[in-house]
Amino acid sequence: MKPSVLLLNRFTLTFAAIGLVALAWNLYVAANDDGHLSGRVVAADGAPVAGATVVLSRKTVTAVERVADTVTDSAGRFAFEHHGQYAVVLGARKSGIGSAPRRTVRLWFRDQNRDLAEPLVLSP
Amino acid sequence: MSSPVLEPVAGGGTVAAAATAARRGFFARRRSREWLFIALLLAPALLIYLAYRVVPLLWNVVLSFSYWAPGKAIAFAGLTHYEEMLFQDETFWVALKNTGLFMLATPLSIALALGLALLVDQKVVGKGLYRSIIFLPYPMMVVAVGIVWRWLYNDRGGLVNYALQSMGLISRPIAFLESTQFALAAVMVAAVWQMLGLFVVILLTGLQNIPSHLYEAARIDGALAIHRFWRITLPLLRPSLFLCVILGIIASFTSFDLIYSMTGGGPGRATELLVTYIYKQAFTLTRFDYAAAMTAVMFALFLAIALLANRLSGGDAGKVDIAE
Amino acid sequence: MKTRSKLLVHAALITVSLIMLTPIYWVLKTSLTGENLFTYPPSILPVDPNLYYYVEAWYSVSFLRLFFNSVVVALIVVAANLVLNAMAGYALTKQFPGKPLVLGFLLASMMIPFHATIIPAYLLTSQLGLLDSKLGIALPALSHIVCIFLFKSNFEAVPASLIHAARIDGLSEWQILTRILLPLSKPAVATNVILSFIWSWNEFLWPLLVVRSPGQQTMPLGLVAFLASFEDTTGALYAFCVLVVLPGLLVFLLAQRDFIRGLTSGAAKG
Repeated sequence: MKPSVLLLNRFTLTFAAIGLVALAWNLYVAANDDGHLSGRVVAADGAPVAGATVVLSRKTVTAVERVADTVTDSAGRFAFEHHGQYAVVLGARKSGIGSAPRRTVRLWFRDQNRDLAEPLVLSP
Repeated sequence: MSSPVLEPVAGGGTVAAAATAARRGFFARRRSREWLFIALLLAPALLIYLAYRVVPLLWNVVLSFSYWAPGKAIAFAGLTHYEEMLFQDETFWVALKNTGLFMLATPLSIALALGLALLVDQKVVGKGLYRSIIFLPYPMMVVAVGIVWRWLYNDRGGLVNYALQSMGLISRPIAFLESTQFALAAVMVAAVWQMLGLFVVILLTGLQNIPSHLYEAARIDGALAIHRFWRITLPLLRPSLFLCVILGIIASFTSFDLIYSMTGGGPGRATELLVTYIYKQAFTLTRFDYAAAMTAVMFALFLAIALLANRLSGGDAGKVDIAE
Repeated sequence: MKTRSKLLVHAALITVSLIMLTPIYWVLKTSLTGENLFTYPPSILPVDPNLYYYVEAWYSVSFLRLFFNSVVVALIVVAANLVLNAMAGYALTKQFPGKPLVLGFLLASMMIPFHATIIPAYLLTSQLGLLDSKLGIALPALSHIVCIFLFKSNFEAVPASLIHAARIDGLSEWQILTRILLPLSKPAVATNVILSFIWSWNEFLWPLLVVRSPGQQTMPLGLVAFLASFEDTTGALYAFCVLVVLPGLLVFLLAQRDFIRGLTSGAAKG
């Protein structure tokens, strides 16, 4: 068969296209998988809460298990690194102020970097 | 001078060369070289079939008359396994009955497929699209099909129950796959859904091979559509119909994947087929010898039915189009 | 054809098409919305679709490993089928002593369904030490009799004069096969590739018997294992189903034309 037929038929083109997409995806993943997850904790009036405990739990098909926790800084910000999950549940709490409803964060790939746009709001 | 060999000799060489070299010894060597080549061409494929079809069949028979377990010595058992199977094993008879019932789906789906093929064969726009859509379920993995239909039959969120209730046909949902009454039929519906496309494609091919001038001549002679169908279409479709029958019978005897993923043979033994029962005996209970006896019976049954179908369709099925 | 009957035909075909497509649509929808068993009545259109169940399916099992195993087995099967079936098909176009015997042997083998041979096939594979290996999974499927006859018909349709001319030009038998017959039998090659790929990709029972360790599982085995571990209360299961079925459908859709043509030409020649 002529080489051009071998190269330009539907099969080769389709699988080559799929291969290229897979390659591009893998490159993107490699560049963005530090497991960085950050956000803010605020009170009901919008004021940042320092010293709130934020708990990160792994979310799988069968269970929600606690993985790590951290404390917000003076600006109410928190960050996790290398959490190693593709779906997490976040909870925040500060005694005296209240707790935030659990927030599920689903990522596109394990350890995808994400900065939460919406803050966790503590309420009594 | 006329040469004994008029055509180019296999393996190259001119007629003249062949004529001069046509002394028996040399020619014979060339011919036998070709036969050796043919043997080499055939050998790998034949080896596979020998090793994985013919020898296993005989092995099964030997095993069915023996006592044997992995690691133990083999001993002659005579008809013990067959006796146990036929007289003491209730599940065997249930499985046999279920396999027989399962086979009933075949004529039904072929009739349906014939109707569809006739419809698609009309000169309508989008023929190819309809054909592709109808065929689409066939290349799907059977295990996935089983899981999908399990979901459809579910009694709490399943589409089938929802549709039946919306149409007013039933008042409360039925757990199809958990009822001894409906389970087998439910699985058969899934099987028909998947096989329909294959039958339609085969019958369509058969329909397209019928020369149109036959219909023209019949129409000129004043034959009605129903006569044209009965006298021209159906007889000329026989090889395709026979092929569908054989494929359908094979599919019903070997529907392991579908049963495994949909019901596992249950509830109770309502969907236990011979093939799933054999699997359980051989690979869960390690009773290879007993399972071999059942396999022998299953194969004999299959052969008998295939030969019967052959006889009923008028003798030699003729063309070997696409089987297996 | 009268317009009214044409409309009726279309109506019937559209109804049937909808029935055939509904299960496929349903699993697609469930994979996108994760409607679990307890939502009643089920909605027809996807509510709040998302792709996260695919992420879940990917990570809940070693998806890449399953995919890799299935692909490797399929490649072995397809390549072997092409080679073995074309060779055997070519041999059957020639005359040789014992040809009726060989044909009879092949036809008889075709009547032996694979499921009637699983016990000895398993024992044989075990004896060969090929349990739990990709070669062991591929071995019984390295050739399909259907495809042999398909090649045979296609080869016989090639004009004899072409072959004679090639012989005069000094081509060897092998070269005749590869340079002349195969390129002219594209439909048969396409059908062979598609059939052997799809059969291999979808094969469940044989890998179930042969595979002993999770690392060697193929896609169907992985799907069933997923079902066993996680039951069917999650959209991830259906996402897995979609992912599993996609390659087979893709190959079929790409190859429809050649596939149908291959079946047709084989049937016509018998």
